[in-house]
Amino acid sequence: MELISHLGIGLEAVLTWQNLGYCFLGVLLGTLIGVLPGLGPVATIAMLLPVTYGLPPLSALIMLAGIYYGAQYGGSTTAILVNLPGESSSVVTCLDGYAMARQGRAGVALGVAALGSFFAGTIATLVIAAAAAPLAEFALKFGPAEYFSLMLLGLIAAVVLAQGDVFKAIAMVVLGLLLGLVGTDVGSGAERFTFGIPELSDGISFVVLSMGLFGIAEIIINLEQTSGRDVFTARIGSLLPGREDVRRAWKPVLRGTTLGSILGILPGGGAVLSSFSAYTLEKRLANDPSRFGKGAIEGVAGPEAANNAGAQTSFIPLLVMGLPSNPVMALMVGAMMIHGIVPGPQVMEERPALFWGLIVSMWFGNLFLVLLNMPLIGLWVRLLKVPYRLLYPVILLFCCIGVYSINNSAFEVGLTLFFGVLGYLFVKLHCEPAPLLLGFVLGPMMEENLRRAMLLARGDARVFFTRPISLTLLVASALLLCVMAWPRARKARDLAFQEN
Amino acid sequence: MFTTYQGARPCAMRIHGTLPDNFMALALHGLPVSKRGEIPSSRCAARGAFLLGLALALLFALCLVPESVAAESPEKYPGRPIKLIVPFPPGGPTDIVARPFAEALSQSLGQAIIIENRGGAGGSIGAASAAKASADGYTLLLGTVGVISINPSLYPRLAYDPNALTPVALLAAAPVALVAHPSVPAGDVAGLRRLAANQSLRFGTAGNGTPGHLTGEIFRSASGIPLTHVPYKGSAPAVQDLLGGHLELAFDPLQSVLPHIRAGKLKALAVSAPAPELPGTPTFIEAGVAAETTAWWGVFAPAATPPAIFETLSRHLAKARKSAAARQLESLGITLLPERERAAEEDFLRAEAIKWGKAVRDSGAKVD
Repeated sequence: MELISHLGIGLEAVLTWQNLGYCFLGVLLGTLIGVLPGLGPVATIAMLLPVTYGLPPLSALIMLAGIYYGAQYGGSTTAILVNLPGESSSVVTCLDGYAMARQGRAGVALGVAALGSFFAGTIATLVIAAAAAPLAEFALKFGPAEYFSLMLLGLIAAVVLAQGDVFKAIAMVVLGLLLGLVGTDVGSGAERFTFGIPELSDGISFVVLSMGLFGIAEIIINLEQTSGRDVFTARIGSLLPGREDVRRAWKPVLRGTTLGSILGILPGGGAVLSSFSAYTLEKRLANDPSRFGKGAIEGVAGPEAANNAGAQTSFIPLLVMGLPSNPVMALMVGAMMIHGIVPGPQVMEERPALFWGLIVSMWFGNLFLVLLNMPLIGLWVRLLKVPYRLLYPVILLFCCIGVYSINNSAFEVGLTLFFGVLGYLFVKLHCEPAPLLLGFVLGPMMEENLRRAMLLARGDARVFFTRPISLTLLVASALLLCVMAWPRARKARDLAFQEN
Repeated sequence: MFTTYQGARPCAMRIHGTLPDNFMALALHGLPVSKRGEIPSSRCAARGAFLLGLALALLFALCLVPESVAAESPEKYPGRPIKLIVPFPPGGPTDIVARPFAEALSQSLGQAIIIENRGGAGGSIGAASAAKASADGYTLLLGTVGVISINPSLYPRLAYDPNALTPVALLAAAPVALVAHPSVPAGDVAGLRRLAANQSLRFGTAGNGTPGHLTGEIFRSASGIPLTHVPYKGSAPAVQDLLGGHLELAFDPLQSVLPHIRAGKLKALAVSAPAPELPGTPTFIEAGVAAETTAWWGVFAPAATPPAIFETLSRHLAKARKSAAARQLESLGITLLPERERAAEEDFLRAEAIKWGKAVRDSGAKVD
């Protein structure tokens, strides 16, 4: 069995005290920066790059990778406890995780997130070990036409994310698309909606937008109603998921893992796209979609499994082809090059111990994470008991440090505050920010790929229907539209609206 | 941003001293871990982890205000850590060149070099902050062909004057490679010319106004081969589409395509300047196309920096060029440049500005 021998090579490389130690250090750091809002793996890995000079390459890469997927674990903690997406991929975890915390079920939400992530991480590690090369080949089949169709599917699904009024949801998606237009147009190089401000010429950063709309807005709301918050902090409830929770959560975890493993391979979206689509899928499949947004455990389990699986499989394009699929992977390229390893198709053959060692280390990392996180749940939940007047300045401070650390830009800190005020307005108007964020992520990618596909096809729009993967995705989009227009589904949506 | 701290250095130092105390106080008094003991078993470990988190956050905070830490002594340079602004995100090609040189320079000078990544607007934001920094040798810029020679023609309103930045030393360069998908039935530029007569050919690049794009434009006008430009957002997606066969060609600096050429997944038709790592591949000129370009990197300082500091830096950079860390760049397809006289470098930069400026105008890639 080739798989066994590969895993054997990896195990042999990883099972040293030094490598296990760096793995633990990596996931510990990752958890911590994940928990701190805004401080992301990009800034941390960039800062630690010089430190890794003196390490053997495998130890360095194991630690840096651990920071990345450790941050996905930690990010959900802040999302659940204080409605702040610690990482961009935990934005959807805010929706139901925070609602669960308000009901005194924060411990359950954290437990499900940790266990679901561990399961997803284990499966994703096996997926990478067994099928990295063929999966990378599959990802190459995704040209601009396929990406466009995938984004279209995602955008239609975005409306499903909305809790209440479907028209408000569409309005928010459109607003997200408009915000996504800000910056330099890739096709022509022209600047759009930048008002001559150089800081806007690369567009608005996702962290800035999500931190403002979710985090800062939540702080303002909480300060407005100080008495309301004390009520839910008084109740903590059980710390671990019960039998009923497990019954509800195991299928979403499985589905989330599958979705995350697939979407993680595709460049650009990775963990963010996979958690959004897992949430959408769970809401679609649920018997009673109206529970979503009000503390449905499926809405935590699915996306959490998906983002962890996606974070892990996003290593596939990097390891197999040397192509970074997101900024963190770009940093990993840098880290490899610093150690004289040129990332690319030859790494697997030339340095098998490094390649398989890194993959096997991910499973150990996930094990450490779950061992680290389960006992910590008690502490995190107790954080909710810290008086809010003490907690919120700390949260605000970390938000500012986190945003500043992305580009060393004070402008972006100001922009975050602006979106915080905007997010507060949205709450007052009962508009959900989640569809806006999805429009913001998908819109620019959709436009870019539409224009590129047309350019490559020399202006022939049939390209979207003649390519099989693209056609399949378009058919799926059409089906989803039909389902949304279906009377029963509409009734369910109206019901949900009335409850609001 | 950092320059504003300089006026208030004593104050910043005081904050530096008291910040941890405040944080610890908040951690100890603000966290009611000891008040109610519902989860006693994990209390100690948990509090330790929380404090560790705060400590980590503090580390971040301190990293952000390096300048306020040490006092300045005008006699001895460098008396405190030097900031090297890399005007692109970490992990990118410019960052990869910056880090080994920063490491070697720091060892040679015996003083820490702090890399500050300030991406945005094709490097303009980082370059502007370096151009406006005080000319004391403590803020340097890792300048690139884009920031110094292309952006002045590309952006009508540039936030900095490229003449406000003077080269300390040009360090490294990479040729731009013209690569093709293996299925393209052309092995060289002549084959490409024949192929272009029968079918339209498309080339991907890392984006409008990048060295790859403009080299493509220079190649197109010098060779007369009709090619359609397909811009991407960075190198990786362009290479990805080329590997997948969605494009026929790409122009990209050598280091990002070299591993794929070595693995046989892409074929190199020509390079824009001699490439020791690809001995069999002709340059544009050898292939009969009168064009030569490189993407290059160098250390720049504000023009008003005292000559003594320039001299110190370039002497130590000469040593850094020979370091093992810098040598490692060569295996990536990056050429280390020889030490040159200041005048020769300024002549080179003038010629570059003219060459790329013309390419920008010819390509119509102006950003406005």
